[in-house]
Amino acid sequence: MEPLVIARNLHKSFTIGNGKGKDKQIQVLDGVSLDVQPGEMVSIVGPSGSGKSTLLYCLSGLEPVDAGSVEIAGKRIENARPNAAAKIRREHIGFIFQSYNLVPSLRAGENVALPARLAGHPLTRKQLKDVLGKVGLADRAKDKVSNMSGGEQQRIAIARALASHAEIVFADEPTGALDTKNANEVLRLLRAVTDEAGRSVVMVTHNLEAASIADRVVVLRDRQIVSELSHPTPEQILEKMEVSR
Amino acid sequence: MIKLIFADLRYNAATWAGAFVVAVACGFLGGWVASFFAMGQGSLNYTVLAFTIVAAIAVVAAIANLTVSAQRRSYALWQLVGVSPRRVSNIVLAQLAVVGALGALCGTAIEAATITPLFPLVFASPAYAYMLDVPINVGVSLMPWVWVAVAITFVLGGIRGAKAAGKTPAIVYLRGAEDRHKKMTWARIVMFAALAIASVTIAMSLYTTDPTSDGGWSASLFLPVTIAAALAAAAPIFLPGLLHAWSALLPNRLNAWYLARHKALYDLDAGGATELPVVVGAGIVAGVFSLLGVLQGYINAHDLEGMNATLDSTSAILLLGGPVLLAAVGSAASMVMVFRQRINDVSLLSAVGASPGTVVASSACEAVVHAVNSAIAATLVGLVTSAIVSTAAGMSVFSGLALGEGGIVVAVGFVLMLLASVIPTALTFLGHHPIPSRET
Repeated sequence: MEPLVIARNLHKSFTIGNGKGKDKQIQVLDGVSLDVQPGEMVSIVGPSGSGKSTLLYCLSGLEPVDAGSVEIAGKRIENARPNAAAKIRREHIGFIFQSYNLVPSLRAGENVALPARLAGHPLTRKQLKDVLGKVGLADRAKDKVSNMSGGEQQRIAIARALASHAEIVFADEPTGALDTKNANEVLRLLRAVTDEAGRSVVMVTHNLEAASIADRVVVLRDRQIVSELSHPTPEQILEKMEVSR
Repeated sequence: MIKLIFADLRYNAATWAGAFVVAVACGFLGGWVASFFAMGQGSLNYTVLAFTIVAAIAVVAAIANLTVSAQRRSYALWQLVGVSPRRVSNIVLAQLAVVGALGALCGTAIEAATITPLFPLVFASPAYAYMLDVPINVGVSLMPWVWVAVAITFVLGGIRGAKAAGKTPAIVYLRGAEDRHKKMTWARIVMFAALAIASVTIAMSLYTTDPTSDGGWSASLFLPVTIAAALAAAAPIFLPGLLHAWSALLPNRLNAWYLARHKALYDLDAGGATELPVVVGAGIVAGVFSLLGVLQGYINAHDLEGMNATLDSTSAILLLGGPVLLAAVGSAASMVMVFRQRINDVSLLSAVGASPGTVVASSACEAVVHAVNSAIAATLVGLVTSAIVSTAAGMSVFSGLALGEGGIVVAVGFVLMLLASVIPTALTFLGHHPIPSRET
């Protein structure tokens, strides 16, 4: 089966100013390659500053790469022109960030319906209710997002990804700001995105318990992928992270 | 602490720059007032201040409030690192005072540097030919009064926001869960009542006085000012209500329009600060020209020879220059002040697949929303003024109604709002791809 995401030899660096006119080049990704199969859940783990989030943003076309290529559903997204990248995101990608996922001026239901609306296929009321029901928030469509808890906001973000028919969901520390109960619920829903909806999920996390729900765990260290594990336990992930030190 | 304050000023530079530019405009206008006093022409100031002071108070209050509300997250973070709520409020007010005073200082400096070439242009009207013989005196010794006045107006304008910044639990701001539904404070209710009573009193006096009697209708010139000011006092409920009413009539099919309408209805602090300067500026202009239209109609109808109710260029500049300048500067500045929030909005929309075209069109629609809302409110000032004055003069309702001049002010405001919203939005697509921030 053709991978849904094909990333090859990604290089990415940032220029950081020190405030004294001397800029410094920081290499964040150094030759990273990664494939994601349809219906596969992949976790990316690694120490702080290892480039996890940058890799996620490069894979999704939010961040341009210095070198290398990224294909999403057969379409090149790296360094794509803004309109083309927006079209790919609209048609194939859903996002869940750690927080501030939702457009604050729109109600919960309007946020869920937004990608479909932007794609020119507005959701019917029934579709909206169904998708909100899948995340347990069927009666919260009219709520202001600012009045919802962090966990509820994440579930709305998952519903938004489900409603948009995104083939792949990129999640950046989706449980990072949540308590254990809400984090578990969000992880259960993300797993269901793969198992029940047949979508792919790529999740960045520093939580090894969370990472272990994935089909495959990728360990990132010193700008490179140093290890890959299939259906690992948290202990196995920790061991690989220790070994790669 | 000082380091924290200056770091905050640098971090929120766009917000403070907007407030600073408005302070510069106030200082520039105040500089002219000071110069007139120094030249012994204080009587001119009654004309200048009558209209400008209302516009200045309305615009500065809105901008000062926006300055605080746009930085509520920073102030919440200050509380989290141990700065007491009371201290947060005091620092916010001190920042406003400093920016107001520094802006006014620059404004008066610009006035001092430009008064010599501008003076003959302002007094080009033959009716003011005598002014060209008056030696120009900048009145440097009076300038500190201008700086203090502008600083005080900024502090008074921001006092409510500053208190709220200190009182509201930090976590409420950090979660973005603060109550954005604008309410009428007691001060606003009292101000609105006073201005409404003043408007009614002026209107009543017109109905009982002959327009041609000596000085009988001199108060009529203040009618559009009191009406516009009353609307400004009621702005927190009036402008959102108006926006809700007319925008609900339009279909939501266009994505850009849909997003812009929701944003305008959500972000009432920024919307009010954008619209209020134009409402006051264009409202006063529309009201004054409608009033003059009625009076000219009355003069024509009664064949009153030797009388006319037209406004020469100098009088127009003295009466309306201040409100128009503040309308333009205030509306554009308020759009720039929410730059950081705009970037985050762009990022969120981009992440869910909105094309750059949709996002930029949405920011253009936002300018349209604010301009139309301002235009309707300003038209209301012109209509009410015209209705009162025309019926008091025994003429048909709305005779002499003149909305064109007010329309020009709205058009100028719209162009500036458009540039101030579209350019920063478009720029976020250049150079880097936006990623939603964990802050607002």
